[in-house]
Amino acid sequence: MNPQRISVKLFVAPDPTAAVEFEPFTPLFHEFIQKASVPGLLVDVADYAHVPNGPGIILIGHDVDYGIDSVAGKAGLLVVRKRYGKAALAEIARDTIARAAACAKAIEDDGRTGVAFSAAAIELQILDRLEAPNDAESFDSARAELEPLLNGLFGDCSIERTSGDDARKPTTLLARANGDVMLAKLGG
Amino acid sequence: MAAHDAPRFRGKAGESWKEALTAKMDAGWSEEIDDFESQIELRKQGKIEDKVFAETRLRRGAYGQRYDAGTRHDGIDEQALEYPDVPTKGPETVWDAPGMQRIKIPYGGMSPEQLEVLADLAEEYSDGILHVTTRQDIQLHFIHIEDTPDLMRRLAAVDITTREACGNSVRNVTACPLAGVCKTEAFDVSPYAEALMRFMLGHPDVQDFGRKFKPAFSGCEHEACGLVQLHDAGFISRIQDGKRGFKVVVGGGLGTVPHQAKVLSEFTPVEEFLIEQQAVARVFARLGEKKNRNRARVKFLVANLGIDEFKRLVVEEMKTIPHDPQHTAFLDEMKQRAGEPVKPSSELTAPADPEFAEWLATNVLDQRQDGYAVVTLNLPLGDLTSEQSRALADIAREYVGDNLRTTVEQNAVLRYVAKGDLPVVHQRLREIGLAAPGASTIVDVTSCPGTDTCKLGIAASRGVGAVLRKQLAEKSASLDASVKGLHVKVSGCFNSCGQHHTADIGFYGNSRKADGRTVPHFQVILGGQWTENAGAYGMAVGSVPSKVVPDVVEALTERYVQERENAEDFRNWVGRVGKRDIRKFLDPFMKIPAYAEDPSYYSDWGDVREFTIGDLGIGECAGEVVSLFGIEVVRAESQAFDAQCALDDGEFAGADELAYNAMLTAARALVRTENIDVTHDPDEIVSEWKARFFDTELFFDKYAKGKFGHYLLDRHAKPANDVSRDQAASVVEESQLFIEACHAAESRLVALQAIGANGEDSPVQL
Repeated sequence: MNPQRISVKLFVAPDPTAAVEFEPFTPLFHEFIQKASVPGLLVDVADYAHVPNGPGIILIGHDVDYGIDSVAGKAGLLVVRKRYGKAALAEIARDTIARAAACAKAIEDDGRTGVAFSAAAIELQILDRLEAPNDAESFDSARAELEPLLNGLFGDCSIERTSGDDARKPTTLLARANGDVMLAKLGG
Repeated sequence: MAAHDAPRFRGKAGESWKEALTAKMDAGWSEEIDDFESQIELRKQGKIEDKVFAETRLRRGAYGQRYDAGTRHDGIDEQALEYPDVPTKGPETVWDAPGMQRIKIPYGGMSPEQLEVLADLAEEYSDGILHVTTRQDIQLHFIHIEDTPDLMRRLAAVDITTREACGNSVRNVTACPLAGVCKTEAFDVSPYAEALMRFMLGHPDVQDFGRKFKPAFSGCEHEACGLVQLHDAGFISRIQDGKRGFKVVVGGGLGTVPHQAKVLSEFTPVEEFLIEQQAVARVFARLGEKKNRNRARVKFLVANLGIDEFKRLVVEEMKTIPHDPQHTAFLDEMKQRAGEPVKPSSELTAPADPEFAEWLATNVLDQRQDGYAVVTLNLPLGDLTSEQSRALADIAREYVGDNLRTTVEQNAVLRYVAKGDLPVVHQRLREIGLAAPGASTIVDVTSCPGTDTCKLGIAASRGVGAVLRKQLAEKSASLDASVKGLHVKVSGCFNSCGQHHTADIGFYGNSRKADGRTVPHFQVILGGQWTENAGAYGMAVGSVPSKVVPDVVEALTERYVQERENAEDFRNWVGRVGKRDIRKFLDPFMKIPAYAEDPSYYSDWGDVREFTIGDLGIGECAGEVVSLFGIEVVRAESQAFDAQCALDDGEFAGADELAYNAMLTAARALVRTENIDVTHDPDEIVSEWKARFFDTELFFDKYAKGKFGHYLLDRHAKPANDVSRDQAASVVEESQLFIEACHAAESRLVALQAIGANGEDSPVQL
């Protein structure tokens, strides 16, 4: 599978359903651009805090976007990898997870947002409906490709399909670790 | 077919979107997109010029976006964005820089399936947000140019084209979102809007315009409806002797110099409206300005020729157009996309839920058809997510079928909701965050993209729009009823994409120098008329710092409530109190604290970066609190303000003269930064200013070039003899913009001097 774009979401800890204050992320993300604090060619900050359950604040990049969002009522760091070029899903996923971990760490280290992230689970979406329509075949194929990577990162993790049978949605997988996982391990 | 069974989601292994979809779209559209894809490849190989490619992509609705020149000020310094080294996609437009894709939605009409495809595209190519514009389009931002052909194919497969969404051609055909269900319309204009769109799309007679051409349809003359008075061509439905036709108007427009449209025809039968528009297009293409794009809209042609001569030319042109069955074929084929309701009509048995009651009061309108209502979705700043769009498509499919439309207030409407279904529809919308009350009230602030993404934006219209919306929503319950009904509209610059001229309280972005830095400001425009199809425009009363805009709105509305007489509306209150008084009232808001006292004034809403790039090294000059230019240009602003007042008082010649003098004063202030001895002689001022600032292009805006300078040169060269209201209004508006341009030019000069003082010899981006 060679998707054109994927996303990885790390959920806010301890409770992703609790409200996250978006406002401090605007100056933080501007500072990330100034200091090149996270990987990628960073372009600008987009503010969608006014959209209910929306993408919140996004640090827009050429090859990657980092967003603090509350889509589906669950707050998290959504990292969208784009313009990677022709590559296998596992390769893009490894890169995207590493970037997500790096950004999460940078946010936590800064401290001003008061937000922390859990590395116990990640949600991975394949944003390519031609390559991976949301069906069992796509999920099975994606799981087979991702299992070695995810097991390496999370130990013997569980991988489930969370996009249901609505063909309009992107194929979505949730990988849960079997025990505690440090953000730093995802970055490795 | 249920959406999740739709075949568009399934490709064969290794299949491209082109292979998957070519058979599913119009053959002509498919060929156009293939051609565009080839041009992308040719440009990458350097085989076509960047200017040519830019025009090509713009005609496909693929715009540039802010920072696409490859640099961005990060709040500390101007930084290069190190994109891969590939050809540009237009002059000073980096290939890999994100762009905006505009998608035409004729009369705002969308099916659930079309909405779902838009949601897919936002998710796969953009940032997951669909943005509704003030012309019923959808825009997707942060798009890569190489993704656009597939994006266009996926749209074409559901009968949506981006062709001529930009460029000098016929843009999206807009219409009242209530067309077909409105109680006061003469008839449903939707099929005629569709017919005009189909007829004009790619027509040979609309390919040689000097500028864009925007049509709009209204069912009623006296409501806001399709805002036809601000359009290049407008159509208001009328029935005469039992026959359908349109009152047709031409030459309206906002932009830097707003014009009210003029009546071309009191009644054009529906059988003749397409050939008449073809004639209008031919006259515009033949006689419209081509070299000076700042004077190239049809409004200038109509103003120059006079409406009677323009009308005569159109009538003559109609006689030369060969018979074309397409002129009337639509009457037989006419199909209304606004199809039949999917649920039987029913009456509402209102639950006692106060949240529902509030939503019902502001977001629900009775239809002409008994037992049905129109539900408005109050979209925050016109934004909705892909997730929301899919859920909305489900709701539409279940309750209203294809009866979904976008609006010029950046909202969406569901039509043909059976009234008995209103509680459940409200609940379903609430679950996806789309049940905000306050549609079409003061809370429902309209805003163009501004500095968020627009290359031309000066101030953060969306930033201030979001703050106003939040502040007003919090106070909504305590707002006086007369205030709740007001319209607030914000543009990021003078180009009026937020339609600020039509608002009770409008703003457009500009800037002022203070304490050696640049401060984001908004010009306050008061008293526009929303009804009568935007029948009159508001006028500028002064520029206030961006940070006090919420305070200004609060102060103005409080004073209006206190002083309102006999159910007087806001526009009439502004007229009665007078602009001089209101200007005085706003004076305290115009003060800018020193940077050390309150640095927040020096950045914009939603953007923590210091506002300007023009202050590089400016601390060197910190001893000078207000420059000579700063002192002298104030007088020009006063003269421009007096000109507005004279215009209001019907003193057209006086307004024209005052406005001209305001431009002279501002030009002289600029000249005196280099030649302190320049006299007050108009010829000398203009000559000096032209030699020092216009001919050298120091006065030129990066995008508008010499546009604002021509306002002074033209008025100086050709004083009007018998000044009409429209002519005076134009010169008054132009004087304001000329003064703004003088401010901007002075900022650039200060930046240049500062760099010179630092001994740097690198070129400065002006």
